[in-house]
Amino acid sequence: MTDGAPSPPIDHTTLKALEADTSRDLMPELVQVFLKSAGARIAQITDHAAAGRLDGIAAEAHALKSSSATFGASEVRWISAELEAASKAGDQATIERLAAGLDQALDAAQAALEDYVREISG
Amino acid sequence: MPKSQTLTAYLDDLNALPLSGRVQCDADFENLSRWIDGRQAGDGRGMLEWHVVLADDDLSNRMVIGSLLKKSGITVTCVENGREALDLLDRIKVDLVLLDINMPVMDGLETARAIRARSGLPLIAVTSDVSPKRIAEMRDAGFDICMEKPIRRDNLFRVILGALSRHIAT
Repeated sequence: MTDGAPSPPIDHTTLKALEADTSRDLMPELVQVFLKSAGARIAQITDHAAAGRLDGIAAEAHALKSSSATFGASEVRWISAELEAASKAGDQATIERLAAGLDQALDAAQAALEDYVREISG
Repeated sequence: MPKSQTLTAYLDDLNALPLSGRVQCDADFENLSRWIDGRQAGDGRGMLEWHVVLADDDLSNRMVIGSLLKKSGITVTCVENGREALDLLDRIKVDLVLLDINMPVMDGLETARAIRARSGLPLIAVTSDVSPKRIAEMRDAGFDICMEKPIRRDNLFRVILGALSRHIAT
């Protein structure tokens, strides 16, 4: 997505593929680990942004792009990819705008993932 | 696999990219594909004899890829960075190494160079950065194949079995 249009927080096709590739029983734990890790990475991005550490932002955004893709967290993935690119380009204004949107994107992904876990656990 | 299909096209279907000449120039790919299909069509129980090391600093990635490997019957040891992977290679027999690229302590490129300096182990990069610059870096570091995240189990299994089969044959 490159036009800035909103996308659903979770791509359920990707999530179901992950479930098929691993196991339904493992999914609640995987989701929990992803959400904890993603939250920690966003906190790191915020710290790096405040300190002007572009390499740190790029590294955390890259890792978040990768793990969010695995869990179908489309919006988090998109923002992370753009943030990684902006960090490498030294585009401070874009970094600030994107970093501010990451928390909200993760909150939306978390709500959708928790719905999914409730659905498969029910 | 159609007879006309090249290894490059075959790997492309698996979301993988050949990086070294030894991947591209050997093996009967049609037979290999049949053998893999036969293995997957089996009862799927029991472990294969191969031991894979996975280095990735992200716990969720280690859990997911580790789970994919175990479900395919492949023994896997997960570590958090390249230094830990090298330490492991000093202590145990390993058949193949999967390396993330962006890792703290020792990244995947440095780790691949260190492994290549002492062995011909099959090396597979697992990364979300497949830019031309990064692909060239992975090739220069000695990786045989690159797989782009997110990784599907069937693709990973086929790429690993293919890499191991060719390694054993050479």
